[in-house]
Amino acid sequence: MITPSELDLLKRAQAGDERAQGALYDLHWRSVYLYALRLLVDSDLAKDTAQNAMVKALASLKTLDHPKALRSWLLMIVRNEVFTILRTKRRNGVEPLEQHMDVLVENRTPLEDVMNGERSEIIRQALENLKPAFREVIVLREYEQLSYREIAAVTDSTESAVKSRLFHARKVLLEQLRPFFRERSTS
Amino acid sequence: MTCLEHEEHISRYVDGELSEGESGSMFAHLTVCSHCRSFMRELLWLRAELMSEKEKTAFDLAMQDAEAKHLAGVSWTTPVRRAGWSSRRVSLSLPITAVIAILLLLTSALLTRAIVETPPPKEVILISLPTVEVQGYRVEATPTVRQ
Repeated sequence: MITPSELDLLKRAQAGDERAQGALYDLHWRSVYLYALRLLVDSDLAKDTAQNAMVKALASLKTLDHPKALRSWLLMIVRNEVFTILRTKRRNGVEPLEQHMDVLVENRTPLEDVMNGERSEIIRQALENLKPAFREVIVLREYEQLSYREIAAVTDSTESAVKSRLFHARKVLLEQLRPFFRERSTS
Repeated sequence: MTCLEHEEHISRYVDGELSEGESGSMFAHLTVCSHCRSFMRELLWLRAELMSEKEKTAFDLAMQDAEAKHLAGVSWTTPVRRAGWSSRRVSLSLPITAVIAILLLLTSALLTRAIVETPPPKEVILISLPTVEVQGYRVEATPTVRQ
């Protein structure tokens, strides 16, 4: 949902107003960076990616026909940037988003290792352990609050695919967090 | 419908993406299935935890930004006030200030040492004796120096 003031900002930015472009950058920077961070799990890489994406977005702002879709459009550009990085990583032996969907958890850090840590750290770790394709739909739905249709537009897939992927991502996430949930509900 | 299918409906329900008819069927199932009720509870708990993590991350980032800005705003300058220049501030960088301070210390140390080690001037008294004649010889007395 875009506010009237943001719409006005966007129109001025599209007309070439540099101050409006700067304000738009500030307004969306954090959301764009967090999305890149969740997908890449590397803060430096996420910063570079988000910055590149924002620069590209501002440069092609005139091509945005539907101002209401600004957030989805920005996230789509970030996603493309992330894909480019993951493709480069794949050449160096790292899998991209869509590969090995049957392997559900990446097993980076066993959750037991952070069980004694902070609650948010446990959730973060469980999220990071998800396959990127699953992590992405969780982030878009829970953090960015996008609808299934918007997620489908960002991820270039169908609504039913989003529905299914989100359901499976939640199942896997809950599977990881269930011991923690039980511990919390009994204490 | 199987529990797995109901679980998918629960997932859509928490997202507000379930039709009214589907919701009715899901709730009817929940009244008789403890497994699916438990899944619903866990899903709602997961959502709350994710929201909490999101807020925590946003707070951490805001703090990092604030710290970075704070650090960027601090410069190592030493304001120097001079008489008659009350409205002006002269800023010197820390290394230059340090060098000046060391030079001042060295100079004062050298001056102190020079003052302490200089011996006091010696007191000189010249005594002139009168010339006398002894048996036709003229004897001139040598001036003596006494400290």
